[in-house]
Formats: sequence, C-alpha cells, structure tokens
Amino acid sequence: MENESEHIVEPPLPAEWLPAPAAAHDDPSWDALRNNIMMQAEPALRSLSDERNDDLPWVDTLGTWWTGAAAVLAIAATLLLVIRPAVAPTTARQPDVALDMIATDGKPATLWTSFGIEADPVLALMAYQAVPR
Amino acid sequence: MDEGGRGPGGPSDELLAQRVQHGDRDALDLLVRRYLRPIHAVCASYMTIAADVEDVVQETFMRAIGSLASYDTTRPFAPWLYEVARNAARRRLSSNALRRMEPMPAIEPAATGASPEVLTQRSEVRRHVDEAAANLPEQQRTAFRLHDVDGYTTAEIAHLMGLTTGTVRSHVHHARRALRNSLAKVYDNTATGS
Repeated sequence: MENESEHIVEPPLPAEWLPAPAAAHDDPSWDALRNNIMMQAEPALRSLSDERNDDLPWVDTLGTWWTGAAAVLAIAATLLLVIRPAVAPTTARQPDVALDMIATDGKPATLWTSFGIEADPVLALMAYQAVPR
Repeated sequence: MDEGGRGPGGPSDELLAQRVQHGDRDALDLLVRRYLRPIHAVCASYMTIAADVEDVVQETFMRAIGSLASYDTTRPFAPWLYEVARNAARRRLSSNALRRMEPMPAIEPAATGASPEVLTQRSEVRRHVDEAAANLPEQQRTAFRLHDVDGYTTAEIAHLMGLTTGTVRSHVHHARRALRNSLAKVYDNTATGS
C-alpha cells in the first residue's frame, strides 16, 4: 500500500484499525454495480442521442431542407414549361411594326392608316420612333 | 486510473465524455469501468453503510450523465466527476434516511488468532477511527480513504481530485496525524503507540 515514492512523513495507522477496503478488482460485485448503472443510464443515453439528432449541424439541416426544396423547384419548372406555350401566341398577335413599316415603303402615316388611324405624317413618324424595339 | 484505464493510445476521459454527450453507450461503459472503484472509494469516505455507498455511487453516475450536456470537454473529466460524487454524498448525508456512522466492516480479525480482549479493543479502536475520520476535513478524509484504505497512489488521487501530488501527500499526512492524536486522547497512548 505504502511505497517509497509517496514520502508521507506520518506513518500509516495499523491496518487492523482501518475499515475494510473495497472488494477486489475482479470481484463480481463490480460487474453487477456497473450493469445496474448502465441499465439505469439507458433512458438518459437515448435522450442524449435524440438531442443530438435534433441538433443537427447546418449542413445536415440544409441537406434535409434541400430535398423538399428541390421537389418544389421541379414542380415549379414543370408548371412554367406547361404555361409558357400558352403565353407565346398572345405576344405573336402583337403587330410587328418593323415589318409593317417595310410593307408601307417607310411612310409611317401609311402604316397607321393600315391600323385604321388617319394620321399626320410628322406625328406618325414621331409615334413610330417612340415605339420600343 | 482503473479497469478500462487510459493506456497508451486509449481514448482520453474527455473524448469519451464527448462521445457520451452524443449518446454513445460504449463510451459510457468505458468511463464507468474506469471510475467505478475510485468513485466508490470517494463515496465510502463519506458514509459507512455499503448499501448507502452503492446508492450514492449509482446516483453519482446518473447525475453525471444528466449533467454531461453542460460539461465542458476542454476541462479535466475526473475532478468534474469527483465533484459530482462529492455533492451526491453530501446530499445523502444531509438526508434523514441515512443511517449515520454505523461502524464500517473491518478486515476480519478472527483469522489473526487474536484473543477476545484484543479483538474487542481493536473493534473499539476502529469505531473511534470511524468517528474521528468523520470529523476530518472532506478532502483529507477522502485522500486518506483512497490512499490508506483502498491503496491508490498519490498520483491517482491527485488526478481524480484535481490536486497536486504534494497536496494529496499533505492531506494524507494530516489525516493520519489527526486520527492518531484523536485516538491518543481516548486511549491515553495505550492503543496508539506506534
């Protein structure tokens, strides 16, 4: 028990005065006690494990979130593809001012006449130039 | 410091504690193997009834697991666990349920072939040692128990209690002296001659 390197000045009390030491290292009572502790610890361990799952790092959280977001994005893209052809004919029905201008030999007043508008040649030119291209 | 102790390359207490914080059962098992006996000795320095000691040992580990979420793994694990044990033992001591200071079972003297008178005297001395030990300062009492009764080295005790080996030696020295002086008062040096 006492070894030379301990250097304790006061000598030890006689062993027979002291309480019994704990059971030997390989005594089965230690295994029983350890098993008891491990059994009682199970709920706490499960709870720690659950907390860990609730407290995922942001990368994992993003991964989980991304799955849903990707699905929503796919649906949105499909809807856009379905809706887009329906919009295209509407824009095609707009009068193509540049082509009509060629057809009217560069005279804006004639161009407006083709739309049924009786126009002053100067104002018709200004109106043509104001058309965004 | 015990079975499952940190050998070369073995995981540190702090790493194991970190793994337990994530619910790792094997890590907890290893920590319990490492600290079951030292914590048992710590608890036995506060109370004498074996069943009480076992209860407090179990309570210590349960409280430690419950508090692990707030344990800072950059700090040494052993002194943290020792503090948990110390608090659990104090709580138990202050509870009314404790059957205080019944004599500890001593090393069986019958095998020594001593006379009935000597056995009776030794039993009396042990009772006085128990009583005197109960009046020692906590750290002295625990260091004394771990060193002189359960045979831990000063280095092992220092690791557990978060002290220097010099402080542990000093605690053991003062505890021995105080116990010897206390017995000398009772027996007028007849039983304590060394």
